[in-house]
Amino acid sequence: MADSDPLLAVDDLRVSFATRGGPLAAVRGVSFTLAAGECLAIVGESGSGKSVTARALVGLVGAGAAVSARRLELAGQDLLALGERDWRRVRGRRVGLVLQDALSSLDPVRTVGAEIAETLGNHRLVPRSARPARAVELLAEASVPEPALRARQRPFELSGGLRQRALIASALAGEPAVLLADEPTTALDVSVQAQILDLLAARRADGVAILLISHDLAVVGRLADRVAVMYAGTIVEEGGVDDLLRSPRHPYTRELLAAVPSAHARGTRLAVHRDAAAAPAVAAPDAAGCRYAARCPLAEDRCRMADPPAIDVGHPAPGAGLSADVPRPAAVDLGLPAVEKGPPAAAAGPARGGGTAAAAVAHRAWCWRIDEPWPAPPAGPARGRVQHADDVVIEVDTVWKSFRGPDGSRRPAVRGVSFQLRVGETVGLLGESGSGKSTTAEMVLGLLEPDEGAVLLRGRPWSRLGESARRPDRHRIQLVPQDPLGAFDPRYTVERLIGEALRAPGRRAAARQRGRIVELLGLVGLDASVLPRRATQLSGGQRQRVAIARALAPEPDVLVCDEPVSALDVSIQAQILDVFADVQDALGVAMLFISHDLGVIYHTCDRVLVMRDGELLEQGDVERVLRAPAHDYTRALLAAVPRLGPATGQVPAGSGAGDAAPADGLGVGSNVGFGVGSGVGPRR
Amino acid sequence: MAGVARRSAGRGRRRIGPGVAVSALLVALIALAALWPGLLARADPNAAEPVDALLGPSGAHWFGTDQLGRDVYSRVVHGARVSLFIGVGATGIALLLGCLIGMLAATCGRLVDEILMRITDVLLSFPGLLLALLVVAMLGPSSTNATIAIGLSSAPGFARLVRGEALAIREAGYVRTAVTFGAGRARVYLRHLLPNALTPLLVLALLSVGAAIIAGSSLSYLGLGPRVPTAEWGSMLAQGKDFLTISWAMAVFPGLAITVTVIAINIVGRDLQRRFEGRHPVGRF
Repeated sequence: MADSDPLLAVDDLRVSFATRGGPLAAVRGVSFTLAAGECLAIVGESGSGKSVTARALVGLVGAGAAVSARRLELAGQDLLALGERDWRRVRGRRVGLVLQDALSSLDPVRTVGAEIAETLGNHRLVPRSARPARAVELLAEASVPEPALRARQRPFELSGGLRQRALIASALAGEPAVLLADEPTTALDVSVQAQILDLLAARRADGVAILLISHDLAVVGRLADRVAVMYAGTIVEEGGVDDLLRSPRHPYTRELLAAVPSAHARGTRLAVHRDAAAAPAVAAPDAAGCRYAARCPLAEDRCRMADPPAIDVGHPAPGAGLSADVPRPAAVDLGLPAVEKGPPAAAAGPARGGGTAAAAVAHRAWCWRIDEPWPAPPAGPARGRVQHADDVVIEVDTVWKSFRGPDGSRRPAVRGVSFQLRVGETVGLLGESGSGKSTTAEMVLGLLEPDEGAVLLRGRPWSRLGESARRPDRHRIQLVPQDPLGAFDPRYTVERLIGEALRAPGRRAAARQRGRIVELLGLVGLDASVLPRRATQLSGGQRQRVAIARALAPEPDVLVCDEPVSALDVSIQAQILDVFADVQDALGVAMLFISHDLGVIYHTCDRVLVMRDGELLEQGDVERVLRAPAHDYTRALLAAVPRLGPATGQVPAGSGAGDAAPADGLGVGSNVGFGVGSGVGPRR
Repeated sequence: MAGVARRSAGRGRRRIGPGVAVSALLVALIALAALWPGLLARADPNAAEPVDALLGPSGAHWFGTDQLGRDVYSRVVHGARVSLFIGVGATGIALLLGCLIGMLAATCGRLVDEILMRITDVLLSFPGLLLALLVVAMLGPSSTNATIAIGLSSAPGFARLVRGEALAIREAGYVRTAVTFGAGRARVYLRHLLPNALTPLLVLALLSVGAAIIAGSSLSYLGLGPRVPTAEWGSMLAQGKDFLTISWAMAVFPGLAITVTVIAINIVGRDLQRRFEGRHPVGRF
């Protein structure tokens, strides 16, 4: 399937933006090729230049950017020489683009069918009269159920998953040879994400070349043949997906993999750095040396002197030698049968197996220190060993809540949920969007009144109280929001933000509390230097740290954390999860931790509640629920989680959920790997 | 990513263009004239010299003299005080009333909201000047009454905007979080809602100073502003038009003063508006 002549050839691509402080190099010499029917993934954190690289391939980097390359060719045609009119013939027709946010990528006033028909019309592919029918056909090819109906709907009338499919359908309308997918599944729930990945895999099997941009290693592991890891505008490591994810050699790749929360890391720290100091070196001036050196635990003097050369890693036999100095414990798949996997995944399996391109690819890392052992993650506060007092802080007793829908009917959001939260315990609330987990959290916070049932705080009524009766106890339950930017008054400095939580709302009152504020910042790994900054002047990780410090200020008994890490890069996420662990260890607060990410839940929580459609399906010890789920839905969720490593298509298909897992998958001592299922484990 | 990089490039401090610089200088000059007219014009604006009536511009009288032989330049300079007083005062009244009505509408429940907004709709359906005329007719002509009249007639627009901003901000995360710290309603409204709803309106208020100056001049042109012999641009213009065939200067310079002031304020206001655009306090970007 893979031609010897690549479809897309990129050599020494450089993109820089003009800024006030001079040119800012976003991409500094990236080279790769992409053949038909192949999927190359570019992985990196925000600011690594991965999206800019993708945009350069469709001429969409913007007017202020300077693009240069030794070679930038699509099927032999030089893309650098194209004018704006020529680009329009390339976009959609030869390169399709799928972006993360389908809602803003699709025109809200046009129907989905019209959107797809436009691409068909732009490139004069189908006669006008045949376009509507072709649009429906394309939707059907993108596995959109009831395509004729969907074609008449507008983007906001579709669910997130359907919207993403519609976007893929419109990207494929021009039958492009290359599909650029920029974070195509990032905003989606796991089960929907799995379906979208299957759809993309099916296109690849049809011969479409896919350039996948993602920060999610598990997604990459599921779809890609080859992976290139980018850091600060350069590729630091590349190789076949199995090689690279199983035995990462560049320190940055190893940091990324170690940061994925999963079973192996339970009770350990995820991040190499505790403090927020480690920032990506995007804005660094063009200095010599490895850009990762500033953050690298293995860096030595020569790393800072000159750019490290590409070192060929070769093809290590799986599990041989390397696993010793990569102290990621041999994590194994949960071994759950792929109950929910549809035929597309199975169809994609052989295609990948036959992908000779992947096998031929050299595994290379731009680093001198690839053979150094990775420092073992420092032991964190041991989870599970914490003695929970039996004091119940929060008791939720069969609460119901419904909202009025747009048509006036009552729509139940939470249906008879009950649970308890004890001192020093972390309870996870797991569910997909619309499952009612946020509504439940708002009732615990006392921001919403349950229609029926009650919330008790330390055995006393909490819901059903008047606001003035509740106010003295408000400080006992604090919120860590998903989006701290929106939760901070934009006019306030960090000092005032935390001061407000200390009941010192004025600027002067906050200044008098400075000692306490700095102490709180210390708890979350920040120092006094952030005090005069406003929310927009902080990085995403710093913002979330400030949000945690602020939530801790009134000395709460309970922290309600509403998807606190879902908007963060994996390495920042790792730091924030470490902060949560430290904070709980130091202060013993109880936490209600809402997330849709099973790995995060497993890493953070002692117990877990699984919700769907407002109902509590299952609750119990996190080990029990996620290893031996009792409910079909929990099993389906687990099956939908993309795993690192070559799990797709290798799991014996057809085995039913009831068969449970092979013994070694659940065997004593083996770890659960939601994120990391490297092939090194005893499954082999 | 590319978007971020581009935005940060575009966000760099905008340079001050020559038009904006000249306008800002003019606004400063007019403010100076309003505060210390004696610094710019030594002649007494009300000293009549009937011998020198209706002269054209000259070295002694830069803008000529009026029908009573008063120095037009001096009267234009001294007139800045009344015009700016009406412009700023009326906008202040409008802003204050607008905030009050808007905040009440946004925070006191649906019934209050509904009542206040319907009244606002009715008031907005009249042309502003007509409303101002009505108020002056009731209160009697004077510069204070003209200020009140113009303030009242432009308050409904501000009320609408404040209400809209406040409603959006009420749903912002930081307002909800403030509640979880145990803050009372009044404190949340005063500390978070009002300041954030007001910020985007301040630039708009500057722009409406220009409109209020025109409205004030119109009222005094009609004889409903300050009493004679107070120097005021609108009334000077009205007097000048009677002698237009004899002396063009008497009408042209007050008219020019109004025009230049309003244009300068608008240019500065628009520039500020562009600078603050996108810094929306709702917190969603």
